[in-house]
Amino acid sequence: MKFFRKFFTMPLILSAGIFAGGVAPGETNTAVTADNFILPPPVTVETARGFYNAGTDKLRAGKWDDAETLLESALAKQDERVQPAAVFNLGHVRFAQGVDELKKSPPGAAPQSRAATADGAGAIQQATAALAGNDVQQMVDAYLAGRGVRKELRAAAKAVRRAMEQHGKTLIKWRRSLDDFKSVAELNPADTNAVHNAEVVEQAIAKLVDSLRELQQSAAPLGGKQSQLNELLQKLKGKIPAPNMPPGASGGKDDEEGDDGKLPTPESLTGQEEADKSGNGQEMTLKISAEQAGQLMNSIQPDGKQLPMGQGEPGQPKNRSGRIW
Amino acid sequence: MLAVTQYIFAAGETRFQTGVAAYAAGQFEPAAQAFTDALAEQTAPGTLVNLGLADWRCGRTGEALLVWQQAAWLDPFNRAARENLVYARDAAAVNLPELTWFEEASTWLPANWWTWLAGVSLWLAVALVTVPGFLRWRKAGWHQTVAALALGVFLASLAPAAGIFTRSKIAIVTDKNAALRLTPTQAAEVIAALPLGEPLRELRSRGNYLFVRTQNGSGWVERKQVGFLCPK
Repeated sequence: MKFFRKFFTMPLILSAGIFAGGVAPGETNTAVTADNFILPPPVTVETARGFYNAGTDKLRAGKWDDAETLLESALAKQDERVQPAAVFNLGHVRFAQGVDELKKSPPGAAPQSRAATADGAGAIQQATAALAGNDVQQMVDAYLAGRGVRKELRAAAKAVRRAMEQHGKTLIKWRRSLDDFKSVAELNPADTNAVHNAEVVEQAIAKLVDSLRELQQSAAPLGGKQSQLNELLQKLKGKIPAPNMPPGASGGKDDEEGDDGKLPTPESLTGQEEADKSGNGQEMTLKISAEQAGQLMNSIQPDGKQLPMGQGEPGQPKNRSGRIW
Repeated sequence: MLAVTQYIFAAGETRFQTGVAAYAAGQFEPAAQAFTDALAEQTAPGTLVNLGLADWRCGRTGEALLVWQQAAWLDPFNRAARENLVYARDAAAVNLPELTWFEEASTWLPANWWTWLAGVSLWLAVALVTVPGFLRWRKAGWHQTVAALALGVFLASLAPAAGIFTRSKIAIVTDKNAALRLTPTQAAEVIAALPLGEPLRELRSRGNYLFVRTQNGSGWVERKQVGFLCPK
């Protein structure tokens, strides 16, 4: 956030040079106060100067895309008097476009990613312990916790991906902006403002690259944790008896592959509510004896043929090693 | 003086033969070097055609197109140069240089012929009008006719001579990283990448950059990335 604020204020630092080029091309770098500048007339003649003035007007109005188009049109006219000033203002436009792109980046993606990674590690540990213990309740708890963390991991991965995309777009804009200021310095070596702006943009790019690296580093363990957790949740799902399985877990693919970007529907919220009460359901299931089950099965079979049922001591779920359904 | 000239010709001929031998042996890089050295001694369309072949075999499409174009500039009757140009342009998918009518006319004869033609016809016309008067010859009808014809030839050769001058502004892209830029600067915005062998026309220059017109638009290109048909 601090970094973002720093970048957001950058155009203010740079904007000192914008007003200079507004009216008189070639005198771009004279510092002029906001009270003194004259608004350029609208483009009436399609000359380099006309396009330049209109572009500078759009730049002041904060309409970056229009300003870019008009200033590029001014450049395309290849008027050597207008060219340095137009490139200078294009540098500002592109820097501002980069700032706008950066604003779209979700804030705090890297800390969110780190927190999700830590939670993922905890959930993995919990799931591994539950798998080793064969305690159904522990497995259900680990499963539910794992599902929650998995959603968190997905959200963090999405945020990091989006942040990286926006950072990438900003980087492209700022590199172009840097090249614009360098071009002005090359066209007019006496232009110290262009040199200064190039230095400022270079520093901003360096910070952006650092931020991008931080994002990459924070995102690196996310994928591994996600796949590890998915694998463990799958194993847990295989080991938890069907009656103990929390509601919403039997969906299979949807449950495993996520619901990225989808808001839960009222139905699924109901399902989650039921999942919270899963403990009650489990107790009810355990109360059915083998005999009762046998009777139930007999009532289901249309031909009355009795299925072989275990009549001995009821086995506890935790002692079952394989799948029971 | 004669001995020095003979020595230079002999050295050029030796290098040319070395290049031919290297080319025949499949050693295209040494062949190209030998032809380049031979050209430094003496410019000849045949050497340029051979250099183009060696360059083409080395994968230097731009250079090959440039030297064949130069060979055709020096000798428009050189069939090998013309045929190689047609083949290479087709293979490299590059455009033909856009020529005006007087530039097109200038390709009918070797470049220096037009200058000679203009010079000789002008002086012939002047001589036929003035010399009989100085020498107190009787004015004959044929004097007038030949003078008129010579003047006509002179006037007709002016346009191709102008075409030679404007064609000297045509260059060929020889660097594979050549790009058309919006401004004459190193950090300029790139408008388009220029394919090897693409013809362009110089309109003006600034420092190390040339403002050129191509068939895909105008922009700035680095001077070292192109070669002129008529090297300055």
